[in-house]
Amino acid sequence: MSQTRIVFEIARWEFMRWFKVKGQLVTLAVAIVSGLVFAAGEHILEQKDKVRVNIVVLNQERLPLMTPTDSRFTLSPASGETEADLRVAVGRHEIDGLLILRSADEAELVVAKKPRWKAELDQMLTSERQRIKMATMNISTEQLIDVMIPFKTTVIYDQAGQKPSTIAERIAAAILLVFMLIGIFYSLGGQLVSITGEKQLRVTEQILSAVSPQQWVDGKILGVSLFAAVQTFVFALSTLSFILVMQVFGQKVAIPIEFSNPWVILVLILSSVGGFFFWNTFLAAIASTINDPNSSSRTSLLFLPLLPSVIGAIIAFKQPASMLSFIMTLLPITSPVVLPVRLVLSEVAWWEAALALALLVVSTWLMRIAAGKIFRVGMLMYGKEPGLKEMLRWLKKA
Amino acid sequence: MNKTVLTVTSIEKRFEKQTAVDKLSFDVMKGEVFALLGPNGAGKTTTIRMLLGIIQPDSGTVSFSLGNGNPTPHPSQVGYLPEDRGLYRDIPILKTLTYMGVLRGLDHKDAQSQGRSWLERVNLADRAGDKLETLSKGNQQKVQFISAILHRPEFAILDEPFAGLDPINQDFFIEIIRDLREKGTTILLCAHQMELVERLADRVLLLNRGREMLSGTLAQIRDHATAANKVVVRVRENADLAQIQHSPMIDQIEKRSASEYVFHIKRGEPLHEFLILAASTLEPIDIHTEKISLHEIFVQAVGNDSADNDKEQKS
Repeated sequence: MSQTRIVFEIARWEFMRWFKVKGQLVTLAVAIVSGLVFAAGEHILEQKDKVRVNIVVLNQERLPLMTPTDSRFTLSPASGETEADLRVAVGRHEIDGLLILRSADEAELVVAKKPRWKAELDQMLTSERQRIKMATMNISTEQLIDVMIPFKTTVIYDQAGQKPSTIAERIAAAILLVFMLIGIFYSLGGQLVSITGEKQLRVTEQILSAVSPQQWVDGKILGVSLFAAVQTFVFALSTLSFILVMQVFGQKVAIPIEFSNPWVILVLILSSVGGFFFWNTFLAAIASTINDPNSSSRTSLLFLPLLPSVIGAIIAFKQPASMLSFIMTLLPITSPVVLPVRLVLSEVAWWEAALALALLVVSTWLMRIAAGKIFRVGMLMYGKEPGLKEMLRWLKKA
Repeated sequence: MNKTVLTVTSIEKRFEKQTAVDKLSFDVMKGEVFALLGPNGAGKTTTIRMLLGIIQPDSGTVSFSLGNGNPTPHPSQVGYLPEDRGLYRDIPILKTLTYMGVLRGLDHKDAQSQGRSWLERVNLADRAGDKLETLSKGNQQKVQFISAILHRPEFAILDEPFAGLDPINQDFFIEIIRDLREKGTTILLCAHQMELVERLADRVLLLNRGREMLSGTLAQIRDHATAANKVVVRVRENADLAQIQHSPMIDQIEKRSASEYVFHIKRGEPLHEFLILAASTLEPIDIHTEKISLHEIFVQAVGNDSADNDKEQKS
């Protein structure tokens, strides 16, 4: 059996240890059902918003309201009933509300429960009041509209990359960030449980007599990285399913235009998969030096990739076109997170993305070799955990 | 059985200030059961790790001469049952066995079929889909053993294969090891159960403090023992040993009970003279001879070596 096939066999074993088709299908189903529930909820609320609202107006002579024809409100003047009678009627749900006009400028609304249509009513009353006032002041509607037009200033940036991002783009970037963090967490869990579990179960010596430490760690990096990538892909697919279900049922969910660009999609996939490989080299090396994850202080080191990633993401969010964001796009430890955020929130030149990916590939390769050297000694080491100095010595010695 | 399949030449391994293996050399012949014995910390596991390439010797060479002619064997040619062992507890047994077989060079189908056939042989076929943790300790040992040899290795290293087994399972494993040898597998065995080693081993190498103490066939090893014969004498209770205990023929007297003594006769001393002496001074009820066991040779050799070491350190 070729050396490469052994690595793939180990990768397959690691991948299948964690990948459960049932789990993925459940994730997908939950997303679709959630989409359906949300869409149904929105639909029900919309239907509720179309229900007619009957309001009796007391003291209508103070502001002669007319119900617009396209409104769902029916404003009827009180026909001889007292305020007390009308309040009772509200309590009995015979009418939806009692509007008591105290003057032409203010009123009290008596209701039995919190009115969802309050804002809508306010808007209608404001319009009605404006119409009546304009009539008394002899101002035409066109004149009023002209007066009310806000002053318009268009901001033009000297660099295209400084373009402001929309809310949809910001949400999309945040979702991408969450996906990457999900991938890191899955990688962390996979490597930690797999490697420390094998050490604790004493499987290591038998396997190391059959395969080289580099083959073993390569298989682990490959298997767990692919698992993290697939898991992230399933989450992305679930989110997309959720959005599609919402759209099918008439809900407006904006998808940033960047996602229709194949180049952006390709870079997103490459940088995230590359990022998982890069982080897994680090995670595998550190995990091999841990005997018991429950008591080891070394476990906190495994969270190290998260720190620069989160800091990088925050900076990229705030200033996607800054020099700092540019530098972090090129640094392999931050690029898998910063690059996707910038791709959505800003403009990234093709050479910038290509350089970031090339640096990620080269550094992953070097990290893989370093991880193999640490793994070689770490996996056979029980008892005292090695310090940073000792690990550096292994790297030099190997 | 005369082709050398493993040649170890003067291997040495030091861990900081401790010498774990000290210029050790030996050969293993094709088709034999070669036992590597020694007390805890003698350097057996370190030696095995060096044979398998898990760790490298500081000096000396390890050279295999198996089918491919390469001094470093292909993983498919070697099987290894480590002393410090375990398997995936939460994964179905057959799946684990298949994985182990694949790592040793079998394809999936072959590994699975070998796994099934071995599980049938050890009466665990109906548990193939169960997780290892659901098996008894003895059955877990069987699965562990299968994982080391299901790929039909030419050379198998079995480190403490009998550890934790009851006598019935010990016999069962002895049968399997014999069967492997009959089918041409060379076996390097490490075990603490000397009586089991005596039943299996063709040749023995006794290690202490990383060095060779004794080596050879069981007969050759016995020749090295200080005492040549053991004579068990049953006498009336509280018999007087005064006239015999200082005899220059006797190496050691062991009291088994109030009426039974074992006399270790020094090498070269005529047995008939001791029998005459015993018959005339002890009024024996019963006399019979016993072979010096490997266990006794082991204890004696290690004891002598440790005593020599103490002397060296004092001087």
